[in-house]
Formats: sequence, structure tokens, C-alpha cells
Amino acid sequence: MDIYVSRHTGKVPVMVFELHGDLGSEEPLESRAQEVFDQGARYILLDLRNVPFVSSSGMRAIHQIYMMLRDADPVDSAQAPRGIARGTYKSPHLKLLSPSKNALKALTVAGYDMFLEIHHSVNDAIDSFG
Amino acid sequence: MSSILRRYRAATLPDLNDIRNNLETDVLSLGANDDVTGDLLLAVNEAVTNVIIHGYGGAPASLSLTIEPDGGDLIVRLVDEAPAFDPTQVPPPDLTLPFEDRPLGGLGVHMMRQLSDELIYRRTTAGENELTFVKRGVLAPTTMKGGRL
Repeated sequence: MDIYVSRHTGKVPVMVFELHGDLGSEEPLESRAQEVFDQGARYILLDLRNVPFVSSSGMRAIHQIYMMLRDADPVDSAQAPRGIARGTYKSPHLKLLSPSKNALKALTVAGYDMFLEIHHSVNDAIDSFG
Repeated sequence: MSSILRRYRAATLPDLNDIRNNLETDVLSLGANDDVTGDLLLAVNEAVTNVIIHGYGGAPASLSLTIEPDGGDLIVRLVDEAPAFDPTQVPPPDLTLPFEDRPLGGLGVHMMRQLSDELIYRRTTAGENELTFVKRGVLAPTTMKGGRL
């Protein structure tokens, strides 16, 4: 998998991860996310337009990124468990852009669509952070 | 219509893409629609991944996939020679836990179950693992056995 990372400024700085290829393992996505997190990034958009396939290993990477960003935000950490249980919560820190049909199926079966917003426009997605 | 057999004598994780591509071609050739094909690609990918990683410890794996129509049903049978492992006995996720607190392990088996109408395991007399994925009523009448409508 190839990952291209770019920084965009909306209401807050957003790191856009443009992914190319199947997301079939935790790496290298998890490491790249950890790198930008260590450099201060707190808002990440995963661009899945060029990801034909997502396996459970790939979803584990998404889950780990979600947890990393959530744990760094005490307010989000406090609100997430109750909001997820009620079906009213979406992560303010991690969002997805245009998953393919198969990728969306995997995300839905795993229940990830319950707490991750899905956008279909880069600009709308970036503007939705913050 | 006859079944399709694909043998992979030394499959490793980089081969997953080819295995999925072959499965997609075979399932579509039997008349399944895109949605059913997508379900099987995800479910079988998880099973084959488990076989390679856990069954063979990442070493080249000997496995086969048989795809066959059974009336209006579509059957995919995965056979491997790894030590016995029955994924149907893996406990389902604890749905009483908050989603984010659920363990990350077990997601692959959960997907296999959710994306199949039936998931059947048996240990063959030859000492192989045989995992069967069943999709019920997904084939058009023209692909039914004997060509009967």
C-alpha cells in the first residue's frame, strides 16, 4: 500500500492520508499515523477512494488510529462510550472519504460506520473537522 | 454446471490479491451478482489469511478453493492441511461491551459468519481442515444443477 500524507487547513489542521491499494494489514498505515500523531496531528482524514479492499487487519489499523486520537482528547474520551452505545456519536478526530463498495461493506459488517463519519467530498470532509 | 477447483501449493500473504481475483472471476462466472461476490471475497479472504498466518505460521500454505453451485445456492469450500482449527467454535463478539472496548481479535471470524448464510467446518478423514461458506438462493435458475427452472 502507498500512503501520501498532506496537511490541509480548515477550521483546524487536518492530515489527509491518501491511500492507494488494498488495506490488508495494520502496516504501514498504523506507523504513518503514529508518526503524524507524534508530530502533533489530532485530526486525520483517511481517503479511501483508491482502496478497493479492506480486510479485518486493515480495520484494526483504523481502530487503533481512532483510539489513539480519542485517548488524546479527554472530552472525546468521556463522550464516546455513551454516545456509541446510543448511536449518537461520531469521532471528531478521524473521518473517512469515499470507501469503495467492498470497503464500505467491511466497515459496516464490523460496525465501524457507527462511529466514523463518511464523506464524499474532500473539501466537505476537511470543513467538517473542528 | 460443474465446480471450479483452484489449488495453491505455496500460498503466502502477497498471494491474497491473486486468490481474491481468481475467486471473484469464478464466483461471477457461476452467475452470482456483485453483492454476493463482495461478501464471499471478504469472508474467504479472512479465512485464507487465518490459514496462512495461524495455520502455517506465515510459511507457504497448501490450500485449495472449490466453488460450486448447489441448486440456487453457491458453495465455496476452503481446504488446508494445517493443524486442526474450527473457526465456527470461536465465540462471537461480546455485544454487551461498548464497541470501542471490544477486543480487536475475532473480527475476521465475525466477518466470515456475517457474510455467509452458513459456515460449516469439518476435519476430513485425510486430516485436512474443510471450511464451507454457503450463500443461499443467490444463483439464477439457469445455473441450477441440470439446468432445470
